[in-house]
Amino acid sequence: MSAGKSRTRLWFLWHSWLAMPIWAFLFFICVTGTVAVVSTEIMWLVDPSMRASGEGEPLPPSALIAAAEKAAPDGRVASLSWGGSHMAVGARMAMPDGTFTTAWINPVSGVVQGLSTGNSFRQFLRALHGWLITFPVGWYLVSAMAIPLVGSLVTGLVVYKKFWKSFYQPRIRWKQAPRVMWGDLHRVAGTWSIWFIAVIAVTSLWFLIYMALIHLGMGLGGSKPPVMLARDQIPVAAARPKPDADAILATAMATLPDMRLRFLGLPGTAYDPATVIGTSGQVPLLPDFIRINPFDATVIVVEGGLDGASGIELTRTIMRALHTGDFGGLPIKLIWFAFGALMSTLILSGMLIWMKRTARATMEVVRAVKTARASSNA
Amino acid sequence: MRKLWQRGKFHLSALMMLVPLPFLPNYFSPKPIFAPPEIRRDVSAGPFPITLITHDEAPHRGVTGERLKEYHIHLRPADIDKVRGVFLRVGKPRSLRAAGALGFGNPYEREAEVTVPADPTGTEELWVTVEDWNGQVHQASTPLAGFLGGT
Repeated sequence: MSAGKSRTRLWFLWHSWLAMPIWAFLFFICVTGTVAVVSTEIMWLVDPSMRASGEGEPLPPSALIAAAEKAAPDGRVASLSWGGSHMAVGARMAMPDGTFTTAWINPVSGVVQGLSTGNSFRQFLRALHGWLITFPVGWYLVSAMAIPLVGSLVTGLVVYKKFWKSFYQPRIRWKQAPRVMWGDLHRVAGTWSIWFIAVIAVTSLWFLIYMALIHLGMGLGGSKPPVMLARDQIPVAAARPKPDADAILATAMATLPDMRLRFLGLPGTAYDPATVIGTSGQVPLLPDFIRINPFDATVIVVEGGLDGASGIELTRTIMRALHTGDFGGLPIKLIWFAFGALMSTLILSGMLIWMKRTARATMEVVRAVKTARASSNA
Repeated sequence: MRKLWQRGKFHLSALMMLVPLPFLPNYFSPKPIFAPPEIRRDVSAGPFPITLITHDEAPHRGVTGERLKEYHIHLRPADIDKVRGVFLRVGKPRSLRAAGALGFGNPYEREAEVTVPADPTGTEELWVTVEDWNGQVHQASTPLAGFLGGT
């Protein structure tokens, strides 16, 4: 065996051993992550109260807030979320028992179509995928998988030296033995998802580093101090003046007219501004935050695009968007879903190849021993 | 047995899926099920009776190493719209500008994360500052001893 060949063999062993002992866990993370990409869409399919037809003139936020607060007595709307014209508007309400409830409101008719409490399917999938619902241990367990992922990608490329062939000559021998078919599938799927595995691995590695930095007590810095109202900007009154949600939204839309509206947050305390979040498309991946004085509906600051936050915060936003594929609407999400499924297939096929190969190798060893015994007995 | 191990050892990582199971009931309940017991204190800041609640567990460490303790602030529902803000601080605030941690979140149950001393002497007081919408300020205090939790 030449030196080059044995080196390849070593790389190949690395490639096998990196993923094989943890394949089931990796597969689980991959599948939950793939489903999490389209979790909102799944909820939309399953739960009719989240749907809206998208036809007609949408109601102003004040009407949506009034409808939600009528449906849940003593509830107080804290924020409204828009998910597109096909989605009902979600109104998050603070309830007297200290919990939060979401009311799903038809944006045109103003009918409250349903109420949901606690964690949603979407949050559940994210928690399951991201930290196994066990924080922070689960977070580390999951994000540490970035290391074997990077390793598998690199060693895979070294082992399969002519991987670019799969781009212009993809070959999958469907009719051959399963071992051959899975091998071909593994190589072709692997080649086509190089970019995706790299994106997922790097962003996961970032999640690992990010959490480690926090726990090591190394201040991440870079985040701007929160925008607050000065005490002399707050009116003196007998009771809390109700913020004018319509005026707040009108100010935001006048500031960034082409913005796709996503979120309207009413002030959390008397000293907080109202926040409108949307995507204006000026900088890809980065949403715009408009902070508005709730008492006179004037803009305090627009934090958007590249100057929205510096350094770490910016990295965090970009990494999260790249990891989840949540930055360009449904088409991007579907691409992320497809490649997530492909990546799950990679893990499964890698395992199958290993099992079939080892099974065959084991059988050969057993047979050799048996024949040896038979011949010695004779 | 040996055969089972040979066949199954590479699938053992599937057991990781069991990790989230014990946490599921708590996750889906709107209120924590296995929360530690609560310690309650009633104070009265001017016309506003307030119940402060904290979990009976030791303060946690903040990112810069300081000790933090979370307190929940319950006002009477009728007072919610009269109160502009509730601030909590260990030690008497020198001015309204340094009144301490501002209660935020659900107005029925605002929460505040208060910086507490790492080695309490037992004589500290937790000061409650209430600012109403008229701009008037009302203060009250309660001994911190027995209200830190985790002892």
